Formats: sequence, structure tokens, C-alpha cells
Amino acid sequence: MSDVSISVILNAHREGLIAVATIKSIERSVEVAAKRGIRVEVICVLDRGDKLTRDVLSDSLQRNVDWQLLEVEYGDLGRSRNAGVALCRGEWVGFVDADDLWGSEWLAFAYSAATCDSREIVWHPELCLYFGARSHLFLHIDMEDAAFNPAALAFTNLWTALCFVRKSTLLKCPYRQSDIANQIGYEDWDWHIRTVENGVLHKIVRNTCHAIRTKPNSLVQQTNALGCLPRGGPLFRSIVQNRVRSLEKSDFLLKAGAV
Amino acid sequence: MQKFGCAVIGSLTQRVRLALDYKIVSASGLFDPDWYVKGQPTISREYAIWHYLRHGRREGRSPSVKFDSNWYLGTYKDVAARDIDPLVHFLRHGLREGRQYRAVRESTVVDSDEYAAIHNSSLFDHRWYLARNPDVEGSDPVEHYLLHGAREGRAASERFDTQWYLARHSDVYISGRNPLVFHERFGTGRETAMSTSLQETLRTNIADWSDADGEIRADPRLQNITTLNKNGSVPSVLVYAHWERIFSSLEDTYQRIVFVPWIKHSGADMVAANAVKAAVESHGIDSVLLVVTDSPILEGIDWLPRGVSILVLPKAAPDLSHEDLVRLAEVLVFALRPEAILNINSRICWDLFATKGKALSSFTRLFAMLFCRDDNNGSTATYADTHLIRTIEVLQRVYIDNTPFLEELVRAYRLPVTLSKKLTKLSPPPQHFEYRPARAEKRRMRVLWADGLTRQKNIVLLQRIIQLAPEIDFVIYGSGDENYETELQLLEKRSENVTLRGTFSGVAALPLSEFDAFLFTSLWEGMPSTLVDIAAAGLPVVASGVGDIPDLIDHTTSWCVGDLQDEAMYVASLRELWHGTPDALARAQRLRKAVLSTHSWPIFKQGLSGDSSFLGAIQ
Repeated sequence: MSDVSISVILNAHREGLIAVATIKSIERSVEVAAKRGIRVEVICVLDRGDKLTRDVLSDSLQRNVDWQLLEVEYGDLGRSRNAGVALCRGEWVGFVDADDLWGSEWLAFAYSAATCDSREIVWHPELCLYFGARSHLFLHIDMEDAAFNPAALAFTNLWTALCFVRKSTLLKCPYRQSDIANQIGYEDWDWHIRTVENGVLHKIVRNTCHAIRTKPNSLVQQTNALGCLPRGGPLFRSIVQNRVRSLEKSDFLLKAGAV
Repeated sequence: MQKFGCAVIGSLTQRVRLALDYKIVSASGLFDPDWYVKGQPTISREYAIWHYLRHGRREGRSPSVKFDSNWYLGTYKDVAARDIDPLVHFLRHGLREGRQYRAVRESTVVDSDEYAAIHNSSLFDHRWYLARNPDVEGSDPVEHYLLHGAREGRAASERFDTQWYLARHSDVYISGRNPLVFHERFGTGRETAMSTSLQETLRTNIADWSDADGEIRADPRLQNITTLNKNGSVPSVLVYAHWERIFSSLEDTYQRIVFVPWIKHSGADMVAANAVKAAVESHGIDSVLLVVTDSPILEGIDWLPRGVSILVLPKAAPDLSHEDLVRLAEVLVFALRPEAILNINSRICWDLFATKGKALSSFTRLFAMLFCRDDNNGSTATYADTHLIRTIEVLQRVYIDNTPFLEELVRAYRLPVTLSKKLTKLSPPPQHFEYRPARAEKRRMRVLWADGLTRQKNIVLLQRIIQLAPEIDFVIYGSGDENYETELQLLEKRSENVTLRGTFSGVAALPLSEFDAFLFTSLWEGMPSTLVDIAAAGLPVVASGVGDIPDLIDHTTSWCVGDLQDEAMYVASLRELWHGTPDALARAQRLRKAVLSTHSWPIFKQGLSGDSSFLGAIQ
């Protein structure tokens, strides 16, 4: 039985020195968690990385115990995340991409929230600060909020990929590979749909925040430009099938012969 | 002990002053309890004056529509600087000192209840709003917030952050109400601004991140987090609000979706109705959803199988742009994941295929129908030219109602076999009508013409035919271009051999037995369903030899005219038909037999069936 409670998966590609700020934010968050007696390991997954990013990650490995580097040649975030999960020793997994930043309280607060609730839950920060090319605040919705409607998940990705989740959930429901050439992308959106489909809740950890870097030519923007959709699944069909039909009739959904 | 004594005395003084203020305010005629409690469900009418004296001033409330507290304090700065209620000040001192007061400006452009709810809300700070928004100076802040401020995401006060409220409570945007009005009426207990603890967490983290990240350190916008724009997971956009309503109204999951621009009484609409009917016959009434995308015209709804579901997007989302409607169609398809989608002339669906076709193909099969070229403001380009070449790779099959057009596309776009084999001829099935010739001796010949009044139908030639054959009576059904309608009306007035009967809802509505022949004058065509229906009924036909028509109509089955601008040819054919009636009826019977051998319901349904077809393999 491992004494590691949390495995951090740092997904890197070619971020270069930008990854240093991410690494520092992880180190601070790990330090805060350690003060509460929570042991954390960090698995850096470098997918088709360049030399500078490899050097930055290698430097971190030398500075920190419980850090390791896995190099893969997938060119796919979903597969990279899964590869990281396969190495995890902790019961809990926290994802971070090498250009984004965690708040120092993240791991400790997320761990506290997660261990206090025995249900199968994916945890997200309450707030994300988008910075860089564009800046704004982004509030995550909690599935137990009265305003939550699963229909929104067909329309947009409701949460960022930087979540905190039990490893068993990731093994049961791994990320799926994207296929950008065939307009299939958004591995995280797809995973959110499928976890909800599998009865997993998505909740927010109060008083936590992340910072998400916006770039003029990010993967998300490329994916948008190519007209991609997530793979998706039968979630919305099953909601329609299983819900109680409303007696209130709309004026836009008609029945021929009844008009 | 001393302190406690002072507190008691202070409290007693305050209570006595409050009682005196109550008396003077209630007698002043400037306090209206009904107006004061408008939009404030938590304050009772009986308690209104007490509430005003205890809280109202600090919350920027006015005592009635007659006395605008904010105007009074804004005008008399010396009063604003003192801790005194503006109405009480006016009644005790202002009146004597000759000070003025002004009525609350009741807006004529906003709802009076909403105006009162915001004006009286403790979360709307008039002075703060004006100070925070210098461009509003000179305007009524309440009216501005109702008309513009909320929509522009401006905060109502430090305690009510409109953007935060909308981002946190996505149902408020969906409700379409002003967020502060919503909060005052239904929002008890809801968070109205970022909590101080979260602000503190964010500020601390920004300071931490700044140490390591130059981009954060260099961004002045991040120094004042309260001015940053706020968004929620659920976007506050109209197209999403419509999607939520549509999703909640869906009654079935539907295996097949047919997209059409409208449901009129045209040939394409008849084909769409038949495709829906075939899907219903094969998979059940709940298996198919007809989505109308462009116009709420549903005049051809009677052609559809009874009970089939129709989603009318222009009714569901009348205020959306074309791009947003394409998005709405995309989300609908993504959520429902039907087995197959058939597009029959919907531009929205064609654009969806063009932009998301590959992604959609990963979970559904895409089909389209094409018809012959049409005259569109001088251009004959069709979706075959604008969209097919961009989408044919993702389409499983393209149904075309006539061979010449199919062959033209293969030639024009040099389609390789892998693609050209996707183009499939699909003959529209005839409706079954009976024609019983009612010939009587010494009667004039009666000719039926029924179609749209458009350039394609060669109305100019039709008028020349009518004028060239005064011994023949022509009955015209149809509507369309206003100029053609006017020309025909004028012709009807000056000629005795023409009668206009206006629009018709399909061949079923035509009294075929009144006529001796059907005249068809199109300049170009595929295989028109009207002609197929009439030929199948057995009425003799004189028709232009265009599109697929010559395959059916030749000198053995009817009268086919090759020169599309020669009225004499058409008239000669009509006269020949009339004078050799037994032969005409024999030809009509041969035509009927020929039509039924190539155009029938089983043939049509078979054309839509099979592994790579819209209906799939039918058990």
C-alpha cells in the first residue's frame, strides 16, 4: 500500500520556460498539502516534447523528491493523461497542464473536500483566472447547484481539464483519443460527458482558484477553428428517455394533425 | 458601567427621535407605503415607514414616487454630509429654508414595477452607480440599469455584481429577466457578488503567481480583480437559452431527423413528406423528427403522417442569426445522435454539414436530396454547386430526382467513381388520384395548368398559348411572382378563355375530371411530382421536354414539346389531343402504366432503404 495520497499529473508538450511558473505553482501547492500531512507525487508526462521543456522538467526532478518523468510520443492529450494515470500510486489524481497555474491551496482543499464526501466526484476549482491574450474570471458550476442543467453539457464544456479525482474513476472511465483530422477533439469535454453519463458528479471546491493561460494559437483555438466536436455519448438521449414528460406543450414542437 | 449607561441613553434618544420622525413622515403625505414595498416581498405595508426610517436612507430608497431621496441628497451636499434622512430633513428644515424636492422620475420606457423594484432595492446604489459610470451622468441610473446597464454587465452596487450574478446563477439569464429584479423577487439567499474570502484567495494567488510568471506580473488588468469580466460555465447567450428550452421540450430521442426549410405545397415539400412517411412506416411514428429551419410556413403540414413530431426553429428561436441557428442544429444533432439525418433544401443543415460534417459522421449518417436547378435572382446555382462539393465526402448518399441533373453534376465536377456512386436517382412516388373523362359533345376543350407562377414555369409562354387558342378554355391554378399574377389577372379580364383559381394545395385539390388535358410549360425541371401525380391519374398531358420528362412522355404516351418557346407547337399538340380523343385517352393510359412502373411507393421506399441509405436495412 503506497503512502502517497495524491498523484499530480503534469502534462507537458513544448511549453519551454513557461512551464517553470506551472512547476512553481505545483511546488507551492504540494508544500501546503505536505504541511497538512498529505504526501504528493508528481508525474510529468512529456508528449512529443522539445529539448527545452525536457530540460525544465529534468531540473524539477533534481530539485524535488517524488517527481518522475515519462516521455511519450502520442501527440494526444487524452492518451498522455491516461499514461500518467497508469503510473499513479496515489488514491487521488490532480491534473495540471504545463502552461497553467494552480492556487497554492488547491491540493489541500481539494483533498479535504474529496475525502469528506464518499460519493464518486470530480472536483474543480471555484474560479479560474484566464490571463494572457485575454483575461477574465470564469466561474465553474457545481452539478448540485439548482441552476445546473445537463443540457448545457451538450452545448459547451462546463469545466476545465485541471480536475481532482479518484484514480479508480479514471481507470473506469479513461480519456479517449482525439482525432483532429476528423473533427474529433476536446478530450476533456468528452470525458466530462462520459463521467456524467456514468453517474459521476462534478463539484466545485469552495475558495479555490486556478489560472489558465490564453494564447493566440492554443490547442483549444485550433480545435475550434477545425470545427471539432467531442466524441460524446448517449447521455442526452438517456436523459430524454428517462425523464417524466412535461404536460406543458411548447408552441414550437408540434405534432402533425394536431395543428 | 458608564459606557452601558451612555448606550441606554443613546438608545432611548434614538427611539424617541425615531418615534417623532415616524409621526412627521406619516403625516407628510410624502410617504407611500404601497409604492415603497413594490417589488420588495420581504417588507410589509404596515412596517414600511419603520423600514424606511431604519434602513431606507442608507439603502438609497425613496419614500414615495413624489420624493426622490437620491436627487435631494445629490442636490444638497450639506445634507448628504450629515447623518440625516433626506425626507425628515426636508420636513424639519428644508421646507422652511426654501429647498426644493423632486419626484422620482417614473420612466415611460421601462416597466414601472421593475423600476420600483430596482429603485427600492437595497442592492442598487444610485450614487455609487453614477460615480462608477461617468457616462451615465445626467441620466436616471435606475432607468439606465434597466435599459442598458444590466445587459452591459455593469454592477448595481458593490454588493450586487451583475456579471457575477449571471455567471453564478445561469438560470437568471435563461429567465430573460433583469438580474436585480430577478434577485429581489426570487433570489433570496443567492450569492450576489464574489465572497470576500474568494477575493482574498484570488489576490493572494495572483501575488504568488506574479513572482514566477511575467505575463501575470505585467498585466495591469489583474491588479483590480473586481473590474475583470466574469463568465460562468454556462454561457449567457441567447442561443443557449433557446437550446435549453428546446431540450426540455423534446419528447422522444428520434432515430432519424429530416431537415427542411419550411413546409409549403411544393414538389420538394411533397418529397420531404414522403421521406418522413417512409421513415414512419419503417421505424414508427416516434422515430422521426422533422426540423423546419428557415420559415414558420407550415401550409403543407397536412401532407405529413398524423402524429409525427415537427420542431419549428423559427418559432423556437425567432431572434437568432443564421450562424446561431446552425449552432442550434449542431447541438440538437450532437445531443440526439440520430442514426441518420436527411437534408431536403435546408441551408442551415447544409451549412452544418459543411462545417461539422466529419465530426457528425462519427456518430450518424448524413444524407441529402437535390432537385433540378432553379432560377434564383438570375443565378441557377443550387446547393449542388455551393455545398455538395464541400460535403459529398461526408455524405453517405445524395438522392436526386432526375437523371439529367445527376449526370450534369458528375460531368461538371468530374466526380470520381467513389463519389459519383453516392448520387442516386430517387423517383418521387405518385399520389393515387382517379381521372374519369367526362366528355360531352359540343363542348369546348378544357385545359388544366397548375404550378407555381415563376419564371421557371414560363408564364410568358403560357399567356401566348392562351391567346393563340381562343377555342380552348384554360383553368390556371397557382400563385407566386406578383408580376405574373398581375399579368394573368389582366389576361383573364380581356380574354374569355382563361379562368384563374389561385393557389392549390396539391394535386389532390384539383378537380381532374373537369379537364381534357394537362398543360405543363416549364423551361427546366427534374421530375416534377405534380406531373407524376397527374400522369399516374390518367389525364392526357402536353408537356415541355425538359429534365427527366422525355423519359416518360413521348409521342406514344403524350405530347412532348421540344421547342420551349414556340406556343404554336403547344397549341398544335392540344388541338391534336382534342380532335383525336380516343387516341389521347389511349396515350394517357400508356403514360399511366409507364409512370407506375417507375414511380411507385414501393420503388420510392426501396430507394431510401438499404445499408447505405437513409432508412437503413429494413427488416
